[in-house]
Amino acid sequence: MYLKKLYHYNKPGFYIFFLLLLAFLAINYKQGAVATPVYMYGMYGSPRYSTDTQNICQLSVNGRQLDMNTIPFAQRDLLLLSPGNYQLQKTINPEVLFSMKKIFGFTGLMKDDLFLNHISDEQFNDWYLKTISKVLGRSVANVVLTSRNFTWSPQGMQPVSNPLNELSIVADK
Amino acid sequence: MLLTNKNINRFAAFYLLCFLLSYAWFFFYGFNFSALQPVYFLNKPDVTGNFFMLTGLQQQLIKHQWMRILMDTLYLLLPCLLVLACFKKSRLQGFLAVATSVFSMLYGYFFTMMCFGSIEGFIAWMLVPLLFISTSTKGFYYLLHGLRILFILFFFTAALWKIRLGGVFNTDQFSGILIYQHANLLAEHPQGWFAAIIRFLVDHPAWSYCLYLAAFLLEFVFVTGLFTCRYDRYLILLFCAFAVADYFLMEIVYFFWLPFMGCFYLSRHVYDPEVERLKEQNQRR
Repeated sequence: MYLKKLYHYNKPGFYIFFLLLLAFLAINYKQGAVATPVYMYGMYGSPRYSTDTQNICQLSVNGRQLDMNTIPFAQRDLLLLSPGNYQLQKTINPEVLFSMKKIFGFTGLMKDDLFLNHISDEQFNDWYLKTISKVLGRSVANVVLTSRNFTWSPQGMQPVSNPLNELSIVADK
Repeated sequence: MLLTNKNINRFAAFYLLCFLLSYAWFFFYGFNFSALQPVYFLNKPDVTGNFFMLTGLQQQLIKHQWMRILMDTLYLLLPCLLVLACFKKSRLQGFLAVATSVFSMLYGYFFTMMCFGSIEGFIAWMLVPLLFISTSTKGFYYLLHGLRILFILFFFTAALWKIRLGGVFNTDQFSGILIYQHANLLAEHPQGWFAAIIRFLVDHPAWSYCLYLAAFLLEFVFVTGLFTCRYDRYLILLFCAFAVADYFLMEIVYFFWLPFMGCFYLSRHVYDPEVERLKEQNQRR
């Protein structure tokens, strides 16, 4: 057995490996925080249904709706996920800071200055315009991001809500 | 089969090749700190990641371009130096292995926090360098089998999660996943050839469920690796099939886990006890 052989070959190595296995089991059992490089590998384990409502984001650049399918999927995800992630960090980062203070609070280094962003909406908008411009390879004067709910039907994706304006940016001249 | 230095060097070369291809892929799409020039981060409840953040590096990365360039350069250089040290059997090999592993964890954490994506995609770059901590064939043998067991657990638990969360018992599961994964495509371009394949699978849940079940079984079957190395070559083929299918059907990149397959390829190689004993004697002298 590998563990037995490892124990006889290298005891510190055995203990490190054993701790890693224990951490993996604990993290999978508790389902809360993780500890790089130990994660939970769910890989689409939660039930999903074809009738689920899908929130789809659409991006209009310089007054024209962008065809997201002409953009490589990695860059498409960057463009579509960034505004949502920016909004999320406003609530998630303070929550994570609060929970991690229980572990690292004794260091005295868990400060808002380090663990929270110091960015205004204008700074984010400026970065977002530049990023879109880089991905598309052309200058961007204005951007409108809308989201809309769809559901699947035998005729294909059908809208079930009105478009919601998520973000509207006009570049400074 | 005997595990030799030649095998170890080949594994090191394979790891470096995979890493360079991955780096090139990220570079091509502008996914590195210096090209992305991030302005914010989205933190995660990750103990190690938050430990790294105590350094304040995240704020420096947002403020300074030179820091971003330094991070990108070190991320590229460390694996190259590690493999060079491995080829030359340098004394620095152990140090470089640990440095590469820790730095890859740090880079992966900050990158996924400031860009997007899943940090799980970085685990090969975090863990595979640790194989080269030891300069002895015997040490490599033990590290290789340890890493192989860890990978099997990662993959096998993905199957267990599908049982625990109930995904595998839902016959509509893969149709739902495909709609979620390709919602933009289905809404905007339902008439293309790729959309037609997705539509077919969504409209025929029995077919799509069979694919999901196949992926589940493929993950589950990795558990055999905990009991025997006999089927490891088949497991490599199964993993490659999984990675290719995921890339084309789901647009998820699992190719970054390919370096782990080196552990499966060399799992039936054993070190020569006599050679190792002589080496140890020489070192003592």
